[in-house]
Amino acid sequence: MHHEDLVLQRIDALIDEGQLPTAFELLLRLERQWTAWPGAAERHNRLLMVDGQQRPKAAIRKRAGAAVGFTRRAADYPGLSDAIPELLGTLAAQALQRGDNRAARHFLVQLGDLYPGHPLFQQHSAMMAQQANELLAAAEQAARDGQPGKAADLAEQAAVFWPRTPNLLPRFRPLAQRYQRLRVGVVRLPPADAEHSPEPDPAVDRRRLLTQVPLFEVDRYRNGSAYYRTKYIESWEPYDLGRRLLITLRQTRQPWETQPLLDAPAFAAMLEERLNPASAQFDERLSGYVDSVSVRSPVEVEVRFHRVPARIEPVLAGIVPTSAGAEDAAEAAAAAAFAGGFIAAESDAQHAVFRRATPEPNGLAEYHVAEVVEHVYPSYDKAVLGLRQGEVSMLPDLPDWIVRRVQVDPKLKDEMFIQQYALPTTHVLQINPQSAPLKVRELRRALLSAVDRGRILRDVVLRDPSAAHGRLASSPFPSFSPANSSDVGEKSFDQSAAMALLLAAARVTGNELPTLRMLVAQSPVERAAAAELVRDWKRVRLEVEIVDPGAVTDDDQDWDLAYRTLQIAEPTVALWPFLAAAPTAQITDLSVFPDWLRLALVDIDRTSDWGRALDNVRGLHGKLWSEVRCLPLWEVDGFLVIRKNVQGFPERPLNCYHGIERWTMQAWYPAE
Amino acid sequence: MPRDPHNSDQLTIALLPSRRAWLWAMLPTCLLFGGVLIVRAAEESASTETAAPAAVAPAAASSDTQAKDAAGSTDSPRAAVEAKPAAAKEEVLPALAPYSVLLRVHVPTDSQIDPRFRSRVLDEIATDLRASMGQMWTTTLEMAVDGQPASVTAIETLKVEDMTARYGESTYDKVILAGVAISGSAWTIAAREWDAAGRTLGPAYVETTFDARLVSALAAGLIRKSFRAVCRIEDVQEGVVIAAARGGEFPPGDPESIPFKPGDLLIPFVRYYDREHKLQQIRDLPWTYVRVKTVERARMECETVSAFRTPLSGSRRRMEIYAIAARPVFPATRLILAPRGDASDPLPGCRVELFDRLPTADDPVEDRIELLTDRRGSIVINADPTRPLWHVLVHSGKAILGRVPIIPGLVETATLAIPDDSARLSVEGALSVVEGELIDAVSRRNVLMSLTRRAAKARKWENVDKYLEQLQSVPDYDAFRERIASIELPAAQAAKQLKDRVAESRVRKMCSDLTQAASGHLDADKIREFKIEMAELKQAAK
Repeated sequence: MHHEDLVLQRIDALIDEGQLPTAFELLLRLERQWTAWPGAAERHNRLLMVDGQQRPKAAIRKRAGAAVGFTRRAADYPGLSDAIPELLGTLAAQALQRGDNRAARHFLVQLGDLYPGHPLFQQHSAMMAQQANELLAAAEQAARDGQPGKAADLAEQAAVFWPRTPNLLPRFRPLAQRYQRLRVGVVRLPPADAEHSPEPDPAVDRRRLLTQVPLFEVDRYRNGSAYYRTKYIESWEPYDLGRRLLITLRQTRQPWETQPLLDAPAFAAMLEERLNPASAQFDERLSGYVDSVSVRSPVEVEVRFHRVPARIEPVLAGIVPTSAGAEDAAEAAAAAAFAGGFIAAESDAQHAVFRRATPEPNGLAEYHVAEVVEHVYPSYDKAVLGLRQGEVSMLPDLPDWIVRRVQVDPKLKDEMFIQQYALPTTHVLQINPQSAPLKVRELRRALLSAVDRGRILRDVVLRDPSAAHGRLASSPFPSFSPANSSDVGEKSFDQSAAMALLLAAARVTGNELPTLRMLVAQSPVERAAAAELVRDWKRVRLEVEIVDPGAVTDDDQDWDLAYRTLQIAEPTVALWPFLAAAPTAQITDLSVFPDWLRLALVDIDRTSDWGRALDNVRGLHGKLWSEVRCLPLWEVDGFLVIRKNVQGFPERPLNCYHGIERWTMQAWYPAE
Repeated sequence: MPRDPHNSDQLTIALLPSRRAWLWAMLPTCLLFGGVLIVRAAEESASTETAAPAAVAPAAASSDTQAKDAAGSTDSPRAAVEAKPAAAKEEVLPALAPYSVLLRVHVPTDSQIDPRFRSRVLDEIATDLRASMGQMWTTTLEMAVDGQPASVTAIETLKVEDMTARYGESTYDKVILAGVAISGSAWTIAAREWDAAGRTLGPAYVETTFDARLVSALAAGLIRKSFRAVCRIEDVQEGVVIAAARGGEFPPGDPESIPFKPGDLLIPFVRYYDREHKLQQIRDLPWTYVRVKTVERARMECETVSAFRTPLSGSRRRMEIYAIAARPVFPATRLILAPRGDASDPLPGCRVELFDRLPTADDPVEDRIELLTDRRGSIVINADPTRPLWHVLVHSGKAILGRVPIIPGLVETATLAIPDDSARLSVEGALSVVEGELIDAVSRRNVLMSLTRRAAKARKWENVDKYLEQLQSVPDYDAFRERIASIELPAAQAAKQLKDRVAESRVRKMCSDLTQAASGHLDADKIREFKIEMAELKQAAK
């Protein structure tokens, strides 16, 4: 007799005595040495069976899990075909009793997969299907009553309740496609007062993308140029050498479009509001170009310029005719005339719901996304799990290491589109121009020299030693933008230089270097990177404190740095507000800059030739880099992960909701 | 032809230089009989009405014909008191020449306005002016008919060219138009003055009342308000401007109407004549004002406030310098900054400082206002009666491009031409970058030297070599000198080609300053000595 056979006998004895852990240990040792020792598999199955029977009631779910594993291992083990259905049936019943339909569905699906014809499964399945059918009937009734949203809601509940309901898809499809709901997984929801928040926050940016339909928006980015489109204007024809612009407004709108229809008087009034210095919406840049606005016909407006802008589209892009942030009734009434885009309908701690301001009418052959629901997850990993389980259909801003994981996951790769954004996201530290300590050039240079940007990019932001999806930046624009100067050299990480510069700065400030305050949004990647930056600065004895943007009010300018993530498509227009840390380009905001920089920025704005304006920005790039007027960190290629049942988004989207009004969704629900 | 209402016999005598002493002696007597008020009520419509004489001076018996001549228009004078026959006006000393004022009042023919009210208005204005202005004015008062440019609306839209064309050849010193209009129960009164010396139009003053009884008082008040006194600048001695106030020897009855007071600001202008003393042209003196320091009857001592060093000299035979009272009427003046030679392209974003007094060693003017020109290249300076004069300083980097005085509210818009400083400014920007790198290099060099010394002290020779190698990579003086030269040469060359010597010298100075700073901080000898010292230490350690 072999020693191994003696071990098997000992295992049998231990099982009989109920000493299962010791028996398992012996068995594992045996299996590690001899994977196919005769009799070992039988002992293993017996152990699993006895273990399943002996587990306490509280661990019933674990028991179920183990049992399912056991079934896969030895489906024909004596007694298993009775024990497993009983166990799963009990669990499903318990879940149903406490209203946990999802758990019930899970156990029943397992039961159905293992024993499709089992009476217990048939019984539960019929009951579940009946309830699902009732929900579907209610959904169909709601659809007949002209409540497509409610109908889609009920149909979704039915599909989630029991996806194996006979004839479910044909009944579910028209309801889900009539009112298409896109569920998006995020790690942070926009705050309640997001509409007025000037601080950096990707969540706020997402909300703006949904709720605002600007006059012009970037449609695509090619060869360093941004190409615009407008939903409001039929044509805009410059004449008189560009000094006059005849704008013909659109008179019709496709049912899927979300912008309001504007007539010429309303359009002219809107422009004049922005030209009136007494108005809250006064746009100094626009008023610097426009001389007068006149209505030529009900759909034609003539704009006369006293200075011709290099490109009119980015100047008018700041005009948002919609005011969709209609939380309170008064605002809604005021905004009714220009309701458009998606409106923030409801929100709680877990969700934010945005609905089309103008729903699509009945009777169309094809419908588009009607509602966007942002679900918040505690982490990106949980968000990916939610995507995998079908809770959400889109993840807009995954960190790079998770994107790479998704890219190699066979299931997700099969079910998802992974689309790269047209513009990389540039991470940059914006300097508050009002900050007294950061007016000292040596301190700004020290801040940049003291941080090992390459390491933080590789280890924290990308978690990829090869940094395939990221690179260091020297400007707030994308690295392939023609606004970048090729003469700008790298700034190497040099802590001794940083120390030297700090000493020089301390001499200027009277040997007192205050603790700097850096605004960082709550996004995990930004927070982690900011923490690393702070650590690097601490090494050269420079104290920087991370501040939540929500803790700083509009009037309170008590911050020195702001960690921003940007996608600047039009550097000639965006540079001025970015450097001035202001929402619009206003001359008074430039008062803190030296004359040469101020006049250079003004010149860019005044140049009527786009090429020359770009040349000027390029000329300024080296000076800004040398003067460290901002601290460009790195840029990261972003990816949009979206389920394949969603169609109609651009191949290289500019943002996560790019052209969402045209997106369509095929009816889909998770099968399990 | 218009007549000259102030050419009395006495004044004719006074004009002769040899008789000046006699005139000064006789002045009080002259004043007793001097002023003449000519009142003329216009016959507006021969067919309808005849206004009552507004006021009749002792010599009212003079003929209507003279009055008609004086009007020089289609207005029909009703009554007039004429001054003495004419003599050469230019020979009259300004101090002894009362203002010859043509006052045209318009009260429309309206069913709401009683004809007797119209004549009463005229009477009361005449009485008021006689009392307040006394002999300082020799006034011809006319009632203007409808359609003449004296109505309220016409006054506001009056053009100086029209007035000059109409009254330029007349002998009046001042033409004041006053109009009364009624709309509902509101009476609107307007007045505006045209000055013959400077051929300028004063601002329009408008007031409204609902009480018909106040109309004439308000009208007289506006007429007085619109009047801008004139003086002739006689001499400039060591910065003190001696001026003679026109009609200064005929002080007005109302102390409030005294034309010049200390602190008043005047706007100078120059009248050029030909050999026959015929006026050739009138030229303004830009960015130059005269501030009254003392007034003694007609004699005034003033100071100039100007953007120029010596803007004024005394009047000469073919050139006379006058100054007229500055009357800010607009709530603010928009000052547009434009490059010299191209006023159509103003300069936004220019740094401008405003201060209400010139800085001195004791008073650096801490409360100066810093502004940036807006997108239209302008700043708005609000008029402030307590601080009527401001100094504007235009900066461009470290250079000052303009320094001018301004009276806000005098005009609605003024344009200040400043030199193009873009070339120098771009050099300043480029040098700023170099300066940053210089600080960087100096700091790094010092830290590396200190680290090297510490390593040598600890006998870590590997580190010493490493730091010395790093020290070698720090840009030296020659590198900076070359960079600065590469910035300086093209900029200086460009300025030279534009014949802008100021810009060229500024560029050269900025570059040489930075080169000197680089030479002081990056002394190559220091590095050489330091390396020798380290080598010796290393040798000794071995």
